[in-house]
Amino acid sequence: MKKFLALVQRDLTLVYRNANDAWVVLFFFVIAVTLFPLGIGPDPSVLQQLSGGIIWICALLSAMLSLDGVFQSDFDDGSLDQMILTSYPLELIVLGKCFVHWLTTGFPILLISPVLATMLNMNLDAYTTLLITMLLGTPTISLMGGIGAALVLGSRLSGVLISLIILPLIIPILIFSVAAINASGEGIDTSSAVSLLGALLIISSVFCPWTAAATLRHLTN
Amino acid sequence: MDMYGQFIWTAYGATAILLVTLLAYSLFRYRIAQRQLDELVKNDREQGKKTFKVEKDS
Amino acid sequence: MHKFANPARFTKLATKVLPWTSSFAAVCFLFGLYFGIFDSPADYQQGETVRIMYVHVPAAWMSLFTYSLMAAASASFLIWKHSLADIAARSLAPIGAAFTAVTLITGALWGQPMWGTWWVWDARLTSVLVLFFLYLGYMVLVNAFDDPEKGSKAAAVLALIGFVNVPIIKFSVDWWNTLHQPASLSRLDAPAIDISMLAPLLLMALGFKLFLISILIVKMRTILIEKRIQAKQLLKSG
Repeated sequence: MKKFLALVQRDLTLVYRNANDAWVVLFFFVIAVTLFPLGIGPDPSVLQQLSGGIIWICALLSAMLSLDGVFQSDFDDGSLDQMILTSYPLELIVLGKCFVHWLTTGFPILLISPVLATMLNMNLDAYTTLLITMLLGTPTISLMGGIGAALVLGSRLSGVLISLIILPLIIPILIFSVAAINASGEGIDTSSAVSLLGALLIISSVFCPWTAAATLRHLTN
Repeated sequence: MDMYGQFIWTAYGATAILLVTLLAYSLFRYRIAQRQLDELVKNDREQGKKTFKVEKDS
Repeated sequence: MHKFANPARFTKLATKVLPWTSSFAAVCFLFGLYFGIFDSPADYQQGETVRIMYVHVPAAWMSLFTYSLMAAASASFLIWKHSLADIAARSLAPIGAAFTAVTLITGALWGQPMWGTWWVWDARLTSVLVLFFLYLGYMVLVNAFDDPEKGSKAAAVLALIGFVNVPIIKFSVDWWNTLHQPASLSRLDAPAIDISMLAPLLLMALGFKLFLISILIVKMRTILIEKRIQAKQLLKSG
């Protein structure tokens, strides 16, 4: 556990030194959401209907922007090879990296999403569900994105590639989240969609680090 | 065929176009690769003859 | 199975098999098309448009079958490092993508007269669209590396992860209440379909399968030849 925390701390320090990169993602999220009212018209009732979907789609796209960097810097300077060779399980290292990715992109997006929801005239009853789906969904994106980041490591165009590969696979998260948000806006019970999101998070927190670690071992030797 | 004939023919036509394109493209790639290989083999053989001749002359 | 993992043996076997599979595929298509278009009854509910079924359903079956084959080949490549399995998976991806495209296009052309719309976002259609994206993602990823070996490995992992989509497609019509009708051929002993419609359907399905095998052989042999060319050129320059 101590080693795990040390790893997380190391990665957080790295992000802190390049804080600009983390801000860029958040900034992109805000700009992308802003485009929707301008593109589809400012009608409050239309925006209210679309608000959950808009926020979630923009969150997905923003996460994609930063995902290809999860292993890139460690791959470039060779520390990834050393991490693979150490006795410490690579799965936990990957889990730590995904956690740091979530903490620096998913979590800030989660924090700012209520503000944007207000600007999109989201139904007041839906705010709690929005935050819950974000809390369960964005870590899952970071975890599944970890596999994608491992897959595209060392390829050409890795940034676009990761979106093409991972976005089709995280469609269920989008569907369940937006369904829950829209249902709670209409006062319908959302527990089934939310529990599905929770199940996805639990499954992927076990399965994704394992797959990503296996991929990294396969691809780097 | 009733009034839906156009849908049916379009469906069959689109399928045929896609599958025939796939077939033609695969065969085309195969032809090109085979021809390239044949040429390489032929060059190798001629090269082999030449070096053999040079060795004989010397 | 491992006996055929030798490229020379594969080429020998493939050369023998190819004329048979390709000519039988043509025969199956000919008879299937004849029965399907001219010599089968119209459906009492769907009318003449039911004839689209004879391309739509076999193509849909084959899109799933091809993906399963591709995932199996990818798994055997990752486990046993057979280069032939990698070549098979690489060759299967564009074929599967074509079958999926046929499924989507004929489905749209069937949906318009029957449901009054080209496309609905129900579970079956969406999951098949995701299958199409997975094929495309595989094809992009496999060629995205300067080192082809790395591309093969990364794409093989992607093919295995994407396999979760196959059961989702298969059972989407049973799990969710959707516009798309459930399978009529779920029970082989008592299929909910008449023999005059079953015959062209199975003929077309067999034709698609033989077509798949034929194209697969041609594509795999092409890659094998290209590898030999590369090896020769490397030998020359080195």
